[in-house]
Amino acid sequence: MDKELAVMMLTWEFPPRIVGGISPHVYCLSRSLAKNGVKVYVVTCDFPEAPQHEVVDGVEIFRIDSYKNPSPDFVTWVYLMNMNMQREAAAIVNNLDGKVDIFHAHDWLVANAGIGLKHVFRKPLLATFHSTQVGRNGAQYEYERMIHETEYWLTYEAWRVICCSNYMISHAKWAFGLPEDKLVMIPNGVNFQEYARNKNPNLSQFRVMFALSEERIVLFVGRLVYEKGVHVLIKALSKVLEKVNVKFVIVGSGYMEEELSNLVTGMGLAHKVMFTGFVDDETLRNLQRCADVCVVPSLFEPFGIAALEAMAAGSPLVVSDTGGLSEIVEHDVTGVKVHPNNPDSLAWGIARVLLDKKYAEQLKNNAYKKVQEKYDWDKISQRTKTVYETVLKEYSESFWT
Amino acid sequence: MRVVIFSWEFPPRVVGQLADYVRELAAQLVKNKVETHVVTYHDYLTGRYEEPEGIKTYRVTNPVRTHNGVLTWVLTLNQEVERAATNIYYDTDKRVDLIDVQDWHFIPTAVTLKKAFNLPFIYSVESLEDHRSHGADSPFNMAIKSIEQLGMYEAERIVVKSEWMQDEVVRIYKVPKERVKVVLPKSSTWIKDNLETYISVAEGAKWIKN
Amino acid sequence: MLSRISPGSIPDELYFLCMLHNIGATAPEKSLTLEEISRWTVMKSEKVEENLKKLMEGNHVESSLISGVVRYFLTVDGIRKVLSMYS
Repeated sequence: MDKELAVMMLTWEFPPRIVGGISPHVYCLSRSLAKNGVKVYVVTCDFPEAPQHEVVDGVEIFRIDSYKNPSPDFVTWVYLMNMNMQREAAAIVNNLDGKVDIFHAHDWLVANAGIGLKHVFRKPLLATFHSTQVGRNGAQYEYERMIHETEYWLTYEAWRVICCSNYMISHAKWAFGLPEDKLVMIPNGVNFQEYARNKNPNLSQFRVMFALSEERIVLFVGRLVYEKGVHVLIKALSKVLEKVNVKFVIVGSGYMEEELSNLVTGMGLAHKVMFTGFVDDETLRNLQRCADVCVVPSLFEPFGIAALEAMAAGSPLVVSDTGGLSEIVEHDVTGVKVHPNNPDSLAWGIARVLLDKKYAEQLKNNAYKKVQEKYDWDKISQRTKTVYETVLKEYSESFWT
Repeated sequence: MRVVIFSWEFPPRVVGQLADYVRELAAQLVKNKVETHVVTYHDYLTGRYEEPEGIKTYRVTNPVRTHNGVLTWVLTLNQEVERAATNIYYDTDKRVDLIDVQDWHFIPTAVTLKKAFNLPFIYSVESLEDHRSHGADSPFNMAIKSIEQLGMYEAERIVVKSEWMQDEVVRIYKVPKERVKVVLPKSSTWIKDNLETYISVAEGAKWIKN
Repeated sequence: MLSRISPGSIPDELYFLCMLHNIGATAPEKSLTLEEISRWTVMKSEKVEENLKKLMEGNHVESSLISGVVRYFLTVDGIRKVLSMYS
C-alpha cells in the first residue's frame, strides 16, 4: 500500500465524553494507529467545552451536534444521532474527495451511520463489539430486541467483526450466528506509560482523603450497573472485615448507585464504603496506585479494562473467573480468580491478598510484566492495522472497486 | 433526465392516497422521457422490477424487525433506502439528476446523499406533522417535525399540492415563499409543472457542479 | 445497559433527567423553560419543579436567566449520569 491508509472511526463516546470502555479504547487505538502511519478521523458526539474540530496526537476529531432532535426515548435518540452523524460524516468524506478507505464502527450505537456510510461510499465497514445486548440484559422485551437486532444487522453489514477476547468471540458466534472467518480477536490494551510516569511521591497525603491509615483500600472502578457485580462486592464486605480492616472505595456511577448505597446503609457499614462518583483521570490513576487491592467482580465481562489498569498501576488484583477476565488473569500468577456472583469466594480472595504481603507482591510484579508484554497499545494497533490491510486486499478484488 | 423518487408507499402497498399519486406521477414522467426510479418499502416483495409502465422500482424492507413506534421504524428503514438509492447512483455512473422525496419519511437519506454526492432533492409535502397530530408537541411529534424541518432547510425546492399547504409550510417552518412551489394535482399543467420544477433543480445543480 | 429505563425502576428525578437528556436540554443554548419541559414531558409543572430542584441540588441540572426567562439544562455531570445509565 503506497498511499497512507485512512480510517474513519465512528463512536458515540470519545474523551472528554467518557462513559465506559469504548472511549479510552478508541482514543488509545486511534493514537497508536496514527503513530503507526495510519490517517485516523474520529467522528463522535459533542460534549460541553469540547471543540467541534481538533487534531490531537495525530488524530483528527470531529464532534457532531447529537442533541439536535428531541427524542421520546433513548433508542430513538441513538437513531436520530446516527442520522446527524451520518450526514456530517458524509460531508466530511465528500470534502476529503472520498479519501477514506475504511469505516470502523464501535458498538450498535453507531450502527446506522456506519452501515449508511459503507453503502454511500462503497468502502468496507468494520465493527468492534465491546459488549452485546443479550450478554448485558437479554432480549426478552421489545426494546431490548430492537437493540439486539440492530447489533445483528451491524454484524451482517460488517466485513469483519472485532472482539476483544476469546470469550467474546464465542459469545458473538452464539449471539449472532457468525461464521468463524468473519470474527477477529484483538484484545484491548492499556496505556501503561501513563502509570509509569507522573509518579506522585506524595500519595500518603492523597490516600488520607479516602481511608484511615489503618484501613486497607479495596478499590472498585467501573459503572454501577448490574453486570459489574458491585452488589456482590458489597455483600462480601462484612466477611472481609472479619479478617482485615478495610475501606471500600467505589469509583463510578450508574443506575444502581442508590440501591447500592441503601444496601450499605442497611448493613450499618456506611463508614466503611465510599462512593466517589465520577473522578478525573489523575485522581483515578492515583487511587489505582495506592489501592491495596483492586477488585473486578463482574457477572458479565467481555474484556475487563479495569483489570489491565490495575495491573499497570501495580495494584494486586482479584477478579471474577468469567468472560475476558478469565483470559487476562492467571490464578496465583498475575492475580486471584474467584467464583463469580459469590460473596464468600470474593471475600476469601480479597483477604488472601491483603493478609499475605509476599504473595501480593509476587502477583503485582508478574502482572506488570504481563501487561507490558501482551497489552501494549502499539502492538495491538499493529494487529488492527493488519486487519485493515487484509480487508482492503479482499476489497480490492471485489466489484466495488 | 434521470430521477429517483422516494415514497413509503407504492402499489401494491397502498396506505393512503400517496401510492397512486406517485404511480401516476412516475408513469407520466416516463411518458415524458424521464428515466424514473421509485425506491419504496415493501414487507417482502423486495428487489428491482421494471413495472408495466416503464417505471423502475426498487423495493426494500426494514433491516430491523422489532420497533417501538413509527420513528425507529422509519430511521432504520432509511438505511436500506439509502443502499438502494446509492446502487442506482453507481449503476448509472453517478448520473442521477435529483431525488424527489415524497413526504417526510426518507428525508434523512436524501440529506445524506446531498452531502455525499452534491445530489439535489425536492421535498414533496404530502402532509405535515402539526396537522397529522393536531398540534401535539410531545418529543415524538417534535422529532418528526425536526425531520420535516431538516427537509425544508436542505431541499432545493419544496413542492406542495395546494396554496393552503404553501401557507402552512411558510407559517410553520418559516420558509421563504419563493422556495415553495404549488403544483395542483388536478390541473391540466400538473405534469408540466412537475417537469419544470425538476428541470430547474437539475439545471441549478449542474451549474453548481461546474 | 439498562436499556429499558421505566418509571419506578429508578428514582423519579433520574428518570426525569433521562427524559431531559433525550429531548436535548444539554447545553445553555438548548435550555428549556419550565413550561416547555412540562409540556414535552407531559408532567405537571409542580412535579417538574420538584424534580428540577432535586437535580439542581445534585448538580445534574443548572439553570440560567436568558432574556429574563429561567431556563434549565443538564450539566456535564448530568450528561455523564444519564450516559452511565444507558451504557
